[in-house]
Amino acid sequence: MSILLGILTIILLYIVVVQIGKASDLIKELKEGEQEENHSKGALFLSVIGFGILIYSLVSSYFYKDMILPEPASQEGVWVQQLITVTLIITGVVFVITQAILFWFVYKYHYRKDRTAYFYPHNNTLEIVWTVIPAIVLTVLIGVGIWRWYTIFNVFKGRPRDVVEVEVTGKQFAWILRYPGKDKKLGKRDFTLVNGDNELGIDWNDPASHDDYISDELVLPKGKTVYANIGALDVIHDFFLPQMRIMMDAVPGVPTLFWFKPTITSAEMKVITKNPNYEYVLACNKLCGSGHYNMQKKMRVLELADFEKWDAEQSEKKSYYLTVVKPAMEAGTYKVNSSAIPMESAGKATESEATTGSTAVFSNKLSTGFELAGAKSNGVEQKLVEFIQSDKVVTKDLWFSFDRLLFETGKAALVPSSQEQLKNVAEIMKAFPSIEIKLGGYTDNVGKPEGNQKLSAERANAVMAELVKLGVAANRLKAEGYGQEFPVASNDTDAGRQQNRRIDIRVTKK
Amino acid sequence: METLHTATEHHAHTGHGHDGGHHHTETFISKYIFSLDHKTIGKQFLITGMIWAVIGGLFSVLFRIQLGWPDETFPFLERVFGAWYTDGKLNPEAYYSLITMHGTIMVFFVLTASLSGTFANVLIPLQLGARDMASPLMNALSYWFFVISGLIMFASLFLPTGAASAGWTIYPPLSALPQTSPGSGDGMTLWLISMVLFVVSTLLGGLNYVSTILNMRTKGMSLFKMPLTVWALFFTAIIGILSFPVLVSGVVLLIFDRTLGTSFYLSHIVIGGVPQPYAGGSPILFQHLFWFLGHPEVYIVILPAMGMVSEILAVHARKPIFGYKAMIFSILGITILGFIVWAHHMFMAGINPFLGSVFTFFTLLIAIPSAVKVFNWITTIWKGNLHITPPFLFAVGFVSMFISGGLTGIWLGNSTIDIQLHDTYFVVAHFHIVMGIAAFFGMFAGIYHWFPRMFGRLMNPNLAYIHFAITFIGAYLIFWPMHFQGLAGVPRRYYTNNNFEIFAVFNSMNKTISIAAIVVFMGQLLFLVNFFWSIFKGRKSTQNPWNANTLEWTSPVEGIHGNWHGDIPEVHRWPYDYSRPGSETDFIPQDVPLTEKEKTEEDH
Repeated sequence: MSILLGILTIILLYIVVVQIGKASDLIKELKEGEQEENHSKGALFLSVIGFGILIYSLVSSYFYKDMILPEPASQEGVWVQQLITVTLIITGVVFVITQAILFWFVYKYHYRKDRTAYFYPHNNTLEIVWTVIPAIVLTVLIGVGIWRWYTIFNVFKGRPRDVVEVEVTGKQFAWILRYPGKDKKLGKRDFTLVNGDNELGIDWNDPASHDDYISDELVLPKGKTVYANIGALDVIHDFFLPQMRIMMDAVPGVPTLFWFKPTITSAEMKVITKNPNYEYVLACNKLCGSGHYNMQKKMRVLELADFEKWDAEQSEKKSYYLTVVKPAMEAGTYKVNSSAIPMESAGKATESEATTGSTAVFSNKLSTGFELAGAKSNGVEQKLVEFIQSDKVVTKDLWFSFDRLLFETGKAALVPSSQEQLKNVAEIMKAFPSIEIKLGGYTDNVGKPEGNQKLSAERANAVMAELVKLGVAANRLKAEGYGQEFPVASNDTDAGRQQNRRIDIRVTKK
Repeated sequence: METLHTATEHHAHTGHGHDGGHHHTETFISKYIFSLDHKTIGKQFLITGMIWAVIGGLFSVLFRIQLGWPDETFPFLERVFGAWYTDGKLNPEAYYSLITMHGTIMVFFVLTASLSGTFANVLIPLQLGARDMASPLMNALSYWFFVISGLIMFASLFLPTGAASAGWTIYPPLSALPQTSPGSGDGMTLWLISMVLFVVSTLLGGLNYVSTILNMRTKGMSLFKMPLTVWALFFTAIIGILSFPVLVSGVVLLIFDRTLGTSFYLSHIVIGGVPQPYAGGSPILFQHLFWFLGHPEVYIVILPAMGMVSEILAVHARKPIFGYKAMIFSILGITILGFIVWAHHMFMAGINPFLGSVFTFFTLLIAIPSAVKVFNWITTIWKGNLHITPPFLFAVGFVSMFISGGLTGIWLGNSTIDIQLHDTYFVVAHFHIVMGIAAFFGMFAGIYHWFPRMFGRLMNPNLAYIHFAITFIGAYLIFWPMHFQGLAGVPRRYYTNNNFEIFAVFNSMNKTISIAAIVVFMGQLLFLVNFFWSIFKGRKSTQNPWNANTLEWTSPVEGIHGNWHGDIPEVHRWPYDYSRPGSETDFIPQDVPLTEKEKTEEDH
């Protein structure tokens, strides 16, 4: 109803404006003799708007100038900033002069009965003047620009020595940061080696990989050149450090790089910005899918000594090979434990929960020979199989939550990445042909209960339909939506609500 | 020049012995729907473009609402747009579909097809003195391919997986792999099909425009007597013919990657921890193919507007365009340079930095012909006798916008500055002002100016004044602040800035921008009211309401098939004899023979 009223009001408003327009048009027709006055008014109208905008653009710039980035935090950023300043001065002057002349002429030369326009079709001298002057100014800008560009990318000198290397890999919707560790060398990678345990496809046969570590935040030293090896797993991302003025696309299949020298530590930046909470950030600046706007990592710049200390500590404690891969290989469980690099969650789109690596002894290989792909330790696959194989009896309240099912926000459509787990569950049902299951859909308590109930039922049904599609007989499956009932966590926090939005599975017959 | 002058003599009076007005009966369908008359096809392009502009503009309002009020819910929008919303909030997937469709619609359907389609169709034959296009059938096919292409794009909005959502530049692998984004499923398939058909439409139109301009000028209409509108449309068509096929090749390879399992653009891809069977391709190849069209595309958008503005400023300033030949050669310069600057969109894409410097050089050179044009426009109104009319308002607005947006191009064209500003809101501000708003201003100027020629009536000037004020002020209020967001590093294509502390400071600015965007959108609806009301109820136009020199104003007001009763007028002079000393009127139409005095002057 309110929409209808709104639309009606708008239509009425238009009618009023149109009628006023028509009426004054008639008046104008009557006074056709007063053409000169009309043009004069029109010229005033246009110039006032033009000069108004010119004043607005200058005054607003004065107020907005404090909202832009603080001073550049890298040597390269300083060079970029210098060129911006030069360009700003040149273009700013041209902007003010040309706009002012344009709207001044509009008023000055508006129609007057007793005047004729000056017949002035061309003047080659003038044309040459305003070809040559811009050409000279642009030569300066091009020259400085290219000189700085070559300096930044060391086009003629090549790769710098004595650097701190870091590898940055983008994936939907997270950055994976790998440091070379004590030996200062990054281990080799091969994308065909990628599996659930080895997201980057690191070649463990390369000893250089053994002390590499994955960091949760981008930590860089002040005053030393950082050499970023940039890449991507799935789609194009963009390595963007706004405060450093550093940017480079991360392209799957095409390694890129950027080297730069941070010049301001995080602590110093907090002083400069007078903001004790000010933080550097690594963002993604190339549209990479629906979670693009939340793809980020924390970033810190430390004094060189502090950085070296941090680096040594991390290398010891967090070497992925030493802490996870090697023990697993020795225990014979390598390739079966879960992904050690957490699957990042992006916005509301995800309902999965991240778990970090542990080494459970659970065989991912089913009796049918099917290998469960990407199953987490203590994930739904493991719980299901363990329950079926155990002598526990079927009860009405023993539910297991799916952990890698994703729905499109607010819809019952499954996101393609959910297929892996669905396939796993379908294969488990094939491996144990006697079992029957029931699927329960649940939501958090946001929104209306009826809507939630409906959505949860649709989602449970969607999962059932998907399992049928994967070859499970429909008569072995049931589905029901429970809406916001039976929460497993508090609905007062985001994390809790995320846990409550889920699909559960219960074995109804063994 | 003299040889050009005589080269066309033998084309004189192509319609000789033909009375121009066809008298065979026409049905409603043959007259208004499947018409072969260039004037009707021009109107069809215009009105179809208006429908698309409203859709594209509405989409921008929807995503501006999300950006302006990221934490609020809008249940009434959910009731209208259904699945795009959840709990009154726009879904991220829908947001990305909306920005993709907004870009695609505005760039291709409105500012390419409709802008060129309307004015090339209406103006080329009328200003050159031709009875119709070289091939009226191809002309009509060009329109109908555009319609089909549009219907396919429109249908993609209703897919359960959503319309394409990889941005209007559809960079693979995001656009190639449906697993990475729901919009890259069927939505992208329809986008690609639609775009191939769209290119067919553009080529049919463009080839026709070029052959008409080269072959069908009336007696005396040498190339250097053509109005600047026709020159601009001529170069526009040539750019389209040379660059759109490259987009098709890029699109076809993308279709292969999507359907046949080839790896033109894909290599080393891992999705959800599973390596994908692609090797040897490069996503950057697509960017080269795309921008080889994509950059000339911005000139396809802006050149017709430049041509119309040149014409309109001269007519309403009652003064010859300053530097007619300089204007032509600057368009030629822009056309040529426009083909060798495409990789400035890719400075940060992982191309060789040396290559980047070459593209910086050529990119900044474009500022020179652009500056020449701006100075010539300003000199054109200097010491004029300016008739302040709606077309003149919008033509001046165009110059203002072109200056503002052109100057920021000098920032972004410099690869060093692009390291900081690439893909930030600074870019959004730059290209919207210089090719979006400016091209729209050119289009509005053209519509207000040639409306009497198209419909035999005048549009209401007062509503036009209101329309101008809303659009001009609104455009600056929307896009000026975005420069500062860009300088603060805010990336474009973020669903919300709230997840980043340093970007979240712009919430109140974003509200202001969104309100301005909504007001500007409403202002355009006012223009549409004026447009359609004036078609039926506008003040009747006289034969030559602006006292202009060009030939279209000699054709009967009612618009007949064949354009002129009797012989086609012969051309004796250039189109810019305004306020010529010694003349009694302040304009001398092109078909008025030279006086004895002028003939002797001309010999010098």
